Amino acid sequence: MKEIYIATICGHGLGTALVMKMTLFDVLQENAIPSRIEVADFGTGFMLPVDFFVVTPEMEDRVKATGKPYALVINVANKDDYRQNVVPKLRELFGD
Amino acid sequence: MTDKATQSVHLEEENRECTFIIGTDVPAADWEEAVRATGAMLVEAGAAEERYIDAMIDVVKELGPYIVLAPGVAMPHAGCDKGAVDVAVAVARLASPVEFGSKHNDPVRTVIGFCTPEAEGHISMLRRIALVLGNNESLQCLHDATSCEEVSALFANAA
Repeated sequence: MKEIYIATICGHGLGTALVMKMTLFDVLQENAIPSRIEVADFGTGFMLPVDFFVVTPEMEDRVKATGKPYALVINVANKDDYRQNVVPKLRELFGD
Repeated sequence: MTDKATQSVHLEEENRECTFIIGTDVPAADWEEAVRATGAMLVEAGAAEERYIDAMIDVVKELGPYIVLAPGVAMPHAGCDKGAVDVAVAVARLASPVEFGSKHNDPVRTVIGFCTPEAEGHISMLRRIALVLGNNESLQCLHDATSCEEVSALFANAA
């Protein structure tokens, strides 16, 4: 699998999105999925040339507008949320 | 009756101190009062200027309740340049839950506000918060805790 460029987005890129990056990183490592994860704020983040977005439900309308694939997480710190909602999508879209 | 405790936590990664303020039974009639109360804890500790509280409120008003990032937990904050003086976290366990308008994670029982004057000054602190919120058992303990000591122990033991 080639490295997947992923962005986690929140208001400032200081809180929620950082927690998302930390948790996502651990889960992708445990699943041997190569990735580059960038944290960004809502102002510029959605313009990044990423392969995939991870956001909370409140950001869904903004991410849909990008036309890029994405996943939603409900508890941004819970690894199971990523195992269930992010990993299968990444394998489906970017798997060999 | 609100119970409060303040402690200094050494952040190894950033080699700096982080002020940890805990309040239990914090009264709030709605989400705005809950965020104000948490912001006031940061200001009282000298970690943020008064204007930081309004900035925290403005973020929620502008972007909605995305800060309700785990079941029953909101993590309000504002940008580094909105009056953050030092790295600090305020954990306000509310006297009664309030609605923030989150589809999946309302009502909010615990508000964890933070401030940092630099974008990278708080990473290890966030990691501790993530460890508490990411484990269903510790998350429930956070919501059920009846004293500042119990809340403090949860974050101190997160590793």
